[in-house]
Amino acid sequence: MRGEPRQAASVGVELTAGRVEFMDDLASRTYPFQEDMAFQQRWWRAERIGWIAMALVLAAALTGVFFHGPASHTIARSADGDLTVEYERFAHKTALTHFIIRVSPPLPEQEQVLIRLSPAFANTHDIDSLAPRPVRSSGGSYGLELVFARSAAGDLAIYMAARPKRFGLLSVHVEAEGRGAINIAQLIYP
Amino acid sequence: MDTVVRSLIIYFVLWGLLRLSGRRTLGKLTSFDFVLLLIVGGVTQRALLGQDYSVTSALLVVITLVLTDVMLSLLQRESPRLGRFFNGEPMIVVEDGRPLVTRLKHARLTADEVLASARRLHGLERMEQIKYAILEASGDISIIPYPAARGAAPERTATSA
Repeated sequence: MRGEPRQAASVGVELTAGRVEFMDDLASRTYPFQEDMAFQQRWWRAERIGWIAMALVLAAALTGVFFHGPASHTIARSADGDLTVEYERFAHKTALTHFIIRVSPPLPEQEQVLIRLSPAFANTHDIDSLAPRPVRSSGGSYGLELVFARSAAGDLAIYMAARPKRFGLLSVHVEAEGRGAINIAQLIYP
Repeated sequence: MDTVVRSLIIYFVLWGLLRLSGRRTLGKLTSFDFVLLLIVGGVTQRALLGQDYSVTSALLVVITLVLTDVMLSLLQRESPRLGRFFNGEPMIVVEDGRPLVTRLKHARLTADEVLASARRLHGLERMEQIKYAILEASGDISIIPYPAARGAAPERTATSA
């Protein structure tokens, strides 16, 4: 009844006049419109690949590669271990990210510690909150210079929340004057 | 400039993801699909504007999206292949009262949905009364019934003399 050639995969019965033949499910029909099943099958394969890609992206996100999580949180130490910076390797633009800068004891009484953050930091981040408040702060060609008093225990810990205002790779030089310096790198997603 | 680029990226990524979720998401709208579309709308709204809630920014987003839409429809008119890529094309899922099982499976469609459409559109009762059921590019299922005079499709046999 339908004089159309069928796909090789269907039943191996020759089509002759008067015989009703069921075409293979995936063969292209011509009535009521011309189909292109080859295109359709390519599309279905692309769909499956797309789903797998989405699943992989989610799996990666769960490990923290996109933000937060074990793959992101890290602690950088200076050469002699006096200065450490706890931060997140991956951040999102406009989303808060936290830094903890620690200077280990003993810090002599009355001594104030100068923490210097290279210009890249202030260029990339808006500082949302900073505790404790610095005794003195200034900014210049070396970047941000913040002076803090030591704690009663003789050490210093600075808690800072910052919001990136641009995306890209950020490289910051963090220095505690006289105590050590570290370079930290952060990838900020758009 | 930021706003325009962001709008374009989100427009095309969203289109891609919705196409990947299959046509039925747009044609059928179960409660799951409805919630999905609501949430997607809300999330992308924030991403499109960033932290810029000015009138200028909003207008730029709208103009970018409208213009992209118009350009795409012009492109599709010029090139049918592109139209197929963007919109998909219809596919026959039931033929002569017989559902094409492989196609239904790939399209993630059930015979029940086809029958529901047949009931809704033509008041048909059985699969055998459907001459053709076609999954359209938009996700709707259109039904071509057998003319009433002829009744149901002929009895199913592998061959008939």
